Amino acid sequence: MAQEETGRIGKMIIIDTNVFIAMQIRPGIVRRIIIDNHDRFISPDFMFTEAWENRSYWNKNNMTEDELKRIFERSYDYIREIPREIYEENIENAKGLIMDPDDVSFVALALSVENEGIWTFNTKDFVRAEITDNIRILTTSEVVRSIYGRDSIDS
Amino acid sequence: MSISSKETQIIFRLEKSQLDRLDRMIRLMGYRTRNEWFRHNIREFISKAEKEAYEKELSRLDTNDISDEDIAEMVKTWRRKKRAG
Repeated sequence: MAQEETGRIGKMIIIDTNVFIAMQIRPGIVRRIIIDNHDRFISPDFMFTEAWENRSYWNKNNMTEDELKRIFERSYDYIREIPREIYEENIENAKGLIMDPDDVSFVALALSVENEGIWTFNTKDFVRAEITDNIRILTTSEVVRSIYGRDSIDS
Repeated sequence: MSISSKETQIIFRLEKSQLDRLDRMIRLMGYRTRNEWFRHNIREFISKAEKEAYEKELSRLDTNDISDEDIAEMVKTWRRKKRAG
């Protein structure tokens, strides 16, 4: 369990689509963090829908639909899917904060549940003060520090 | 010891000398009973094995030499195309 591995208890971290795709297609630190800390991550249902609908972009090894679906569905064990009803009341607030309409559900979720922040590779899309005054935008290094309490995942 | 209806009792055979060594180590490691030690290690084993199996499956999707920026751009591209209809 994550808490046993890290010795720390923390709030949930919201995963942006680009981080999820990295976990799916690239070995390395992103995949390691998520798999080793499966009880720390959430994402809006929109993220899973968006990632699946655009699988042709990241299924670069041309896995069959059945194989891909089976692997994709296992990601729900590691990142908890949050239904729209949970963050719906903050959708309008979020629309006023973020330019990209496809980022609205992430911001709305961050406004709706207790969380550590949004983990994204696209921090510059979230730089507006109206967002950063209310939501932490996390780089991978910040996620490592938040979860492991140090600068590296290696003990 | 009572067994709940959701549990199954498992019987293992071990050589006496090996069992003596195991019992000594179980006590040294702070477990109160063989059952407590066994349950803890089974949980750890399953969790580790599941992670390894998942990583093995994910490795079939691995793409070489793709950066954070490449992935962010991939997502932006599909969003732009969606909006363009």
